[in-house]
Amino acid sequence: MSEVWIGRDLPPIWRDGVEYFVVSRREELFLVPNRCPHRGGPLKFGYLNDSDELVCPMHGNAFPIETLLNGPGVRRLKEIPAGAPNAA
Amino acid sequence: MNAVTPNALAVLADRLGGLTAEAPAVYDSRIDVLRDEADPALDTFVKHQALMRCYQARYVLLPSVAPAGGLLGPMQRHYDPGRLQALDAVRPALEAELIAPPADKPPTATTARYIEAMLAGIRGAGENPFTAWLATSEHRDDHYRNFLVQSSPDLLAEASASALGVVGEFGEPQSALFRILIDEFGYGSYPKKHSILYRAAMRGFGLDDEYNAYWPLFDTEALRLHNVIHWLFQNPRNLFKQIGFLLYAEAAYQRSTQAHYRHLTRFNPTVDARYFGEHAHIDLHHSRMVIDEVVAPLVGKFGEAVGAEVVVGADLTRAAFTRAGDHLLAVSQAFEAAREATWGVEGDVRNPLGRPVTPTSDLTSLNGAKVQVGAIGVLHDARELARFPAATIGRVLA
Repeated sequence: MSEVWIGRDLPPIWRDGVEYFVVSRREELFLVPNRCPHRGGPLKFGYLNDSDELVCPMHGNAFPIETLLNGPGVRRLKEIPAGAPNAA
Repeated sequence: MNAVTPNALAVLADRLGGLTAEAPAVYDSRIDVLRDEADPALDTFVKHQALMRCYQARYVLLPSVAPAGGLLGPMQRHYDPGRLQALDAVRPALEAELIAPPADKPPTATTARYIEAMLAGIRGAGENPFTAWLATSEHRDDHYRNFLVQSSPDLLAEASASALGVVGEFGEPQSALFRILIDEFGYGSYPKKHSILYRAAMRGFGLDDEYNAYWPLFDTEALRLHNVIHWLFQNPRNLFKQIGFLLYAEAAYQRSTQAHYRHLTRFNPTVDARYFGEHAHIDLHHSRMVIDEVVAPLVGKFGEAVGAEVVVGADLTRAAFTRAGDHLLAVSQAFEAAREATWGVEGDVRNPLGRPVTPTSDLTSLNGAKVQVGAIGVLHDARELARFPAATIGRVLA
């Protein structure tokens, strides 16, 4: 099972005019801009493939999770939301 | 089904009315009225005009600028139920006569093999014949204006036909088709809408970018291509043929727009070429999406019988694209060889609407009158039109 979880069913998270979605990876939580680098597609509605890449639902572009989490605008969180698989 | 007679077309033309001074171009509903002469090429031309009016009457058009006399009058006249009914009454007969799809035939290959061969054919087709020829012409900008004008019936309202193909409920392929449509409409961002990018290219060549601004200059093949596309999307019965259209169009258009993008960046670097660059990029995705997310699952679920329909739609589209492309090039080359001509559009393109003539019309009776050919230019002697391709339309200038 992948160690990555996408918060696609969580409500939209807005901060400073940017929409984010939650990504949980191992014991860490991130807010990732919900905007595909290709054409702005809603990344959080994509799916994780067998190579741990997030596949955009718009045009099928695949992004390694590691690359996404180290991309511009990503914010690291300190708390794990209730409902996530690795929540307490 | 009985063919639409010249008299019925004249009645329709009367019902649609003329273009009044205050009516915006988007509500231009004119079709030409044939005189007594029996010219099958003109008959076909006017029928295609009428069929295009049938389709245009079904999508929303607003002028770019508010008309001086107000919008609601011209708009409500344009979409008057009686006018729509008159158009609907002739549409089935026009479609039956003008857009005969290839006869149903058993598939000669599986859909997957057809797609493989189609893609190989498109990739191996070599240089785009039109842009390759343009590079050799001193009047390439005049020919390019004509290309933009003749393509504008469809591209200034791009994806208006295929939008009809995503309504309803037909499973996951519907969502893939909708995502393609989202791209066409610019993700809801007006400046990114493909038709808006096309407008920018037209303005770059000094052309009016209003929808229908060049109605009198559209020739038979430009109308035919528009009508084939719109015919496909009028009826859900054609769903798999519609998908065939997208299958061929997305793959072929990616290549042709790439050629046009290169042409513009080489010869017209100040012209906004984003329309062509955008398609050259995004149609790579669309082609894959149609193949993997639409055709493959539908054929997998419903069998090769629906795949055969997809193939029919793709072949119909290929024939329409090829015919329009060949015609455009042939007209350009014929005009280039004219003995006496002036380049560009002469006079007010909207009014008066000069009488249409074809290469098979009685040109000698015109006593050497000038003839406007598309947006390319004006022949100084109408008789020169006789050596143009059969589907060429000229407008006799006063």
